[in-house]
Amino acid sequence: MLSLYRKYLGHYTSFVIATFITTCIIYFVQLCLLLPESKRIIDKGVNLQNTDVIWHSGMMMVIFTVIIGICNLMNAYFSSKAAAGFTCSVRKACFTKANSLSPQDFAKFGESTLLNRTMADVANITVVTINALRLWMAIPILIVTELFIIALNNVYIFMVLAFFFILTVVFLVVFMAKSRKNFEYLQQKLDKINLNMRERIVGVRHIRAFGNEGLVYEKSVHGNEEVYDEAISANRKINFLSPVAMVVMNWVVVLIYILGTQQIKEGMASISQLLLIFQYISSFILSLMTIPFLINVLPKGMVSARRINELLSFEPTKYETTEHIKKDTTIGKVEFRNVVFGYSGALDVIADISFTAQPGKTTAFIGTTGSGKTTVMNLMQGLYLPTFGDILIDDVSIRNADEEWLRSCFSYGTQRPMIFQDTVKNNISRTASDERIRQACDASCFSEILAQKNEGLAFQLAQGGMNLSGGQRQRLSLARTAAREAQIYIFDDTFSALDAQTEKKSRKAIHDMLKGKTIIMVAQKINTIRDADHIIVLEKGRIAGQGKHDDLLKSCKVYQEIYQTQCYLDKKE
Amino acid sequence: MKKKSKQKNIISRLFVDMGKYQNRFWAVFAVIVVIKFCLAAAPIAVSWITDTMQQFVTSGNYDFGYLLTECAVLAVLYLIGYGADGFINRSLVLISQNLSLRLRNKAGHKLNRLTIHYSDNHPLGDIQSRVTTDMLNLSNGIESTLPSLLGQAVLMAAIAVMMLFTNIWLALIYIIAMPVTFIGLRTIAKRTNKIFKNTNKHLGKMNSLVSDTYSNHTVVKAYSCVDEKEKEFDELNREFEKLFVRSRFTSGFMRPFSDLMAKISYILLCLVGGFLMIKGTLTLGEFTAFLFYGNMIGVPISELSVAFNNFQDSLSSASRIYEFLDEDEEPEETPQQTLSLNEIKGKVAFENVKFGYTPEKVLMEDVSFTANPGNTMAIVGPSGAGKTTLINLLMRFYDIQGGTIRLDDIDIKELSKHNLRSAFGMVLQETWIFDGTIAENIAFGKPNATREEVIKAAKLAYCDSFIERLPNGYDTYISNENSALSAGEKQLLSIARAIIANPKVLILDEATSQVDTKTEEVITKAMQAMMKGRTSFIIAHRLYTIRNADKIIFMKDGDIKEVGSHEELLEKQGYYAAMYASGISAE
Repeated sequence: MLSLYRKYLGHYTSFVIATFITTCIIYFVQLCLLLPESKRIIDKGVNLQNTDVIWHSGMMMVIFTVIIGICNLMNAYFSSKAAAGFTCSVRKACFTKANSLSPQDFAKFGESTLLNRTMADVANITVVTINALRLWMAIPILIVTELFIIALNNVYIFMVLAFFFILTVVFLVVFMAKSRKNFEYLQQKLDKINLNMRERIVGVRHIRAFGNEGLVYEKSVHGNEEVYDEAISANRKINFLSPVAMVVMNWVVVLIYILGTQQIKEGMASISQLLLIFQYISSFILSLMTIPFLINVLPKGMVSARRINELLSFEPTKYETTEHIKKDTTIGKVEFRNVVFGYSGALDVIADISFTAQPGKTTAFIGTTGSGKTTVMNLMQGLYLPTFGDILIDDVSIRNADEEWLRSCFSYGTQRPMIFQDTVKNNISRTASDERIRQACDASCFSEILAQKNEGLAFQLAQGGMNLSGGQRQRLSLARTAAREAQIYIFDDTFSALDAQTEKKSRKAIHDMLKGKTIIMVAQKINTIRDADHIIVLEKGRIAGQGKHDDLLKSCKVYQEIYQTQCYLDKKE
Repeated sequence: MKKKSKQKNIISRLFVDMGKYQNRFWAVFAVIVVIKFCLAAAPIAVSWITDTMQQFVTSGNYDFGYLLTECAVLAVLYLIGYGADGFINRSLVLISQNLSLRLRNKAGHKLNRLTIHYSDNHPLGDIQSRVTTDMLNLSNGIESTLPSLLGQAVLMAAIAVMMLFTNIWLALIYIIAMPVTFIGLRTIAKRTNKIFKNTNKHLGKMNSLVSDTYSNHTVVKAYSCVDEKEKEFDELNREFEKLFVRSRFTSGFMRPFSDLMAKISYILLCLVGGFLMIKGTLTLGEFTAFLFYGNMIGVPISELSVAFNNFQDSLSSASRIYEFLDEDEEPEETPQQTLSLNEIKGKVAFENVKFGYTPEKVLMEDVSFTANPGNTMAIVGPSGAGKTTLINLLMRFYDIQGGTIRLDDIDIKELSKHNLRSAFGMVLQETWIFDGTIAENIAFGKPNATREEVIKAAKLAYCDSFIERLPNGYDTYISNENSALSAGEKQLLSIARAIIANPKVLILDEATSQVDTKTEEVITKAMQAMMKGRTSFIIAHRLYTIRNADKIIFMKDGDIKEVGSHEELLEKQGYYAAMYASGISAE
């Protein structure tokens, strides 16, 4: 938690200091100036029967109250400013960090926990921060000033009070720390049932189709019961903390009445002095009442802070680049040299991959599921780094390449179309000209779909593009890939959900549009890639053969098999 | 007026759902009344003690026995007043957690009973937040808002009573100041509320931006949209900062205001108390009691106002939960007939079927066809032709508006849905993997399946090889978000799931689009072997997968346009023939 403050408070520190100063002024005026007036009224006014003193005291009290009121307002402003600034810079840092993660690291965290960390966890620490500034900063100041004044008035009572106070605080802190683990478990279990609910909402058709309503229900009930048990046992540890503390502190007050009377008897104190001390003590104890609140909020905040820290301090598993080489004009040549790669710890996913993709040519990949096609695409763009071997883009090793330049070389059409909750135009591109967007829509046959929508390019897409069909989403994704200005275009199985007619049409149109560029195609159908300039056949992460369609038909066994199965289906007349 | 009665309704429903903890709730309420009166009585004991001290000083006779008795009374008041809070905390946790458990389970049950129409037409996030965030809001409301709302209200009343007993004139200062403070605070709170609502709405916008960006992480990265997204985020973030400062600053007025009112009362108390003491109508002890009351009363007033807001939030969460629980459910079924699984032959017939998702927009006017047992029916058509509609009808996710659908000559409306669906095996285009092991995910098709059966199904679906390569084999944990599996592998898992269910009718919804053709061919073969003598519906875009079909159903705009064998449809020179021609000419 503290490390977050150290890092992200930044120039809002001055607001924190201002909050601190105003808090100090408020309590100094209230405790050292305002309250003693009541003692004066009793001592000089009531006891000496002097009404002038009472009026004068009243005047002074009004002045003090006005000062306190002004400081309170300033305090509210400064603390809001500091909390808001802190929150926003932490949230921004989370967002930036999450975006900077490689797909591999991103998947390690998982989308929903990243979202939680950026939004819900940051909201939790906001609550802690605003309370820290408004309450917890005030309480130590209040307590220290009060103890100090009490010590000035009566050392004996001060010692009794301080002893029990420290005892109580230690008691609270020890038990609070103990309960922290339980609240962490509770949070984990809550996350689990939330995930479970999400699954059930998304998978409603699957669950019903298999008639497994009962099964999933039992699973949820089990999760809910776990949450229940954990909530009960976590709370058991803190339910009795503050009541015990309050009883003890108030008994101490009773004890002080007795001791005080003893002191009066011995002539070491006066009643008005004791009365003043009691006023201090009672506001002192009231401030202890905020501790239960602190117990509730702080552990949650600390858990959230840890989760945020975990994200922010995460060391990405890539790019230890010292150089940042970039080229001014990119040609778009891609070269793999004996590339070997395995996801962290696992077996090699691909090995011995060597090939060169030239500008103006179409290089195609074909192979079975799990043969490593998408992995090759990810490696090519530097999303992962090869374990051994090297990948060169325009003769620059991907290990030394400037990340931004590297991204600018590629336009990548993903296997699963990804859609933003935005307009069609913004989904395709925010920067491209309308002319180019229109061209791309034509090429991907998305224009036909747009023609049916009144809004045209301004058509608003729902979350996940749910207001389009699967095929329509893929066309949109294709349009996005084509619209981007780049040198290397990757189509990772982006034609699979299109019907044969549309596929053929758009494949040709896109080739025409992207003349002179490097085109990389990943496909499952020989039909899609048979005209490619260079075909690479992948099997189990190795290259099983490469060349042109006709050569491969003669020389590559895997290719022949694929061809035969497809021919068997297509030409069984 | 209507809102009030709705709120009352929600509260009474909450009571019902508290079940046997309802009594505990009333006990909590009773205990609150007792302890707050004890706390309000404590300053009176203090006033006795002060007066005793005063007497000691003037008389010079220190009778400690008497003082100790008074102190003992005070100690007991404190013990009850603060100690019993433990009981209240504990009870409220029990009440709220039991209530949450019950509501969560109800919501879990509800998810099984909701109409598909509801889930198709409500954003995922909305349903999700009702069953997650709102549940938390409610339990927080009961655990922390309720005790402070009830407690402080009772405490204020108790203090007022005690003050009136002690001294009417001084009591009047507070009795006037309290409502003024409260009304002032409510006015501020109302303004704050508006800003808070705005802030929350803004936060919602931010949430969807972040969620959107994260779920499209690959695109964001690959298209260098990071900067744009961050710019968008920055704008929202800055706006949020402004709103946040405004909302917190306005709400920050509340404490200074109540503080100010408390101080004014305190000053009046000192002045009036001083004069009354000079006149001799007020003892020092009574004056002390009022100093204590003044200190005690500032807290409940400001806390009450905050608690009031939070309580309304919790209530609106509760109402969102109940709204969800009240959504339309699938009607109760009274199946007139039952088909035993072994007897199903798998004949499916559409007779003059009429259907539209809304009554105004009819998609199918009059569709008839028959799939005989063992037939393979290929469903084809351009993208967006509404092919999933057919599945919705076959599985009775939606009911038809006219005509009849028959399974083995029985109107499917006469069967229970569970019975009907057990006859079908389904692999949808969008794969669904749940949080669990691979084995559990496969066994979803047959919950009591043995490990051998799971492995057998996995082998038939060609999953075995990639599963064996995973670190924990069949016991590897997977979830939809976890990308340890490729799209194709997830597809294969769903196929294994369908295989293990061993259904009589198979529905493949573009099942093969993510799988390469080589694997696709093997799977098709395996399925054909499995489906021998059984009916299957295959939705596919590729012509070669459907060439072997007995019948082809051509769909467009949600309607079935042509049904017939490949040759028949070619001769017909209709939609299918045109599509086939364009697919083949590429060869």
